[in-house]
Amino acid sequence: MKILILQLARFGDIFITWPTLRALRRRYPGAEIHLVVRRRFASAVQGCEAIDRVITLETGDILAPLFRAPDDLKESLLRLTEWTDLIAENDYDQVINLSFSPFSSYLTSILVDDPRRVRGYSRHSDGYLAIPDDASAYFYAQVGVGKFNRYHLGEVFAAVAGVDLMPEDWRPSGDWQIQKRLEEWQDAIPALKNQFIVLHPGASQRQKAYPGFKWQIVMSRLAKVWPGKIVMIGSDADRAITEEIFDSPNLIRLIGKTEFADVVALMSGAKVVVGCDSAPMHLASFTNTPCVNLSFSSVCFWETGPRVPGSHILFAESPEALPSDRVVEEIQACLENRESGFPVVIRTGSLPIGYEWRNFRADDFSWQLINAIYSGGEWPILNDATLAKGFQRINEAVDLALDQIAAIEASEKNPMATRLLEQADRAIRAIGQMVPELRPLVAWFETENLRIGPTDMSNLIGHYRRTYSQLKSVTTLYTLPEDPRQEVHP
Amino acid sequence: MKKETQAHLQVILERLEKASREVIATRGYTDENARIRLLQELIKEQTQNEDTDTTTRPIR
Repeated sequence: MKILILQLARFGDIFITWPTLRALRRRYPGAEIHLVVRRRFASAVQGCEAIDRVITLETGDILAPLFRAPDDLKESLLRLTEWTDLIAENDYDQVINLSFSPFSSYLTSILVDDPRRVRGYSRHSDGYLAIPDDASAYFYAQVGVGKFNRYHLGEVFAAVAGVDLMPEDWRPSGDWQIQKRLEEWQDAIPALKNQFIVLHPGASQRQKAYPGFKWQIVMSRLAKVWPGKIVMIGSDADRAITEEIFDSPNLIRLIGKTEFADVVALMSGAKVVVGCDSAPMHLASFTNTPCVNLSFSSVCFWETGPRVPGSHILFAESPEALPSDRVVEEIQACLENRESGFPVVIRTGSLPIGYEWRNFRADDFSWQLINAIYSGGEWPILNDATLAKGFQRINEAVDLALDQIAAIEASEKNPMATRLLEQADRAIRAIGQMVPELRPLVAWFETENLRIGPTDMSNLIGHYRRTYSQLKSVTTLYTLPEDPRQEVHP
Repeated sequence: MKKETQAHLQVILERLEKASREVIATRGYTDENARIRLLQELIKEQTQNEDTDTTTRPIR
């Protein structure tokens, strides 16, 4: 059996994919497992024992002819075709697309004709997006910044691949010889034989990063309460941010001096790992070292947060909104294996989510709605008049739509009914935009309609009838009672 | 990415879009289309400053 996985995102996503690759190996021990990654991020695959072959996307080589004078578009197309043909020759039994991008969806459709051999985004025969499996449909509807998903990406990837993870899937490569590496670092820097913190001050994007001058304040204050060393790691790309952090007796600078295996080795010997959403933070999940993760609104910590139990996630709208004192408090609390008493998210590891708010009352309505829609959980109680109105309006749009569907079933050529059906779709979408808490339901509905491939009118209308009827079964649960102050118990 | 490079790639994208539409108009959606669209998307990723962001990006 031959399996191909597409992971065309960045370092962090590749590391989050490792457990799924291991689970695939466990399920298909005799299979040939190949992985496609971008050349730039291929170092994130080194040491992953679960895969037999790494195929790199050579973007630079493919696009180079476009920058000739005159440009040679045909040559670029030829190079891309040759690259895809070479991969397609492997005639994979299954292609698992964990990239969720337009590029990867077209690539999947070119590599495999048969939708039964695909998991993850692909394309229908008419070029429209194809979402063959339920896990990918969940991803499309509910996953991403600004949405309400709380499953970690690691679990979502595994669900798309159709495998179950085990705790031991989150481990470093055996090739990395972590203990030996740590000892070598300790021999080179004897201070590392005592307690130390690993700090990664950078992030892949500016909006995810805590400013350098704030890290400086954190470290100055931490030095007054923590006698150990702080080991600062990062790549050459992180140098700019570290230039705002002054040298001090408790600081050990290792910027640009470590490979991924070294980072994991140092983290495994550390008391705590501190950083934002970044590749090192994902690597920390391969150790048993708790983390203090600074998370801002450009990131969904539920999806990409640290996985070691006892980790603390400090959430703020923006880096500017997170006082450095809070960071110090939380690092201290994590070091002492206690809670700070301030609002924070703790990684507990308990199923199914593994994260819990402390000292903060989060609005769980939308998450409970997701649970009810996808996992058969209890429908959340409604005690908000705006949400109740939102359900009411969706209910009205659904009734209008079902009438039009009936009219089209009676007579296929009914342009008025078709236009009204489109209006009902738009109304439902608009309500989802105006009442964000209802977006999970609207997103589910839109995704289910999107999943139908090219088909005849009869099948299409039958599909619409089913999805509208399912939507109706939810909205009627929340039909507004006569007294609007009364809670709605579905 | 330099503005000139972005502009240059934008022109190429438009040419690819035109080629794609011509194929669809004459032969419907084919493998050739899929490959043109593949190249379009690869280029778009570059014009968005090699937008290889996390997989939590929405797809359209």
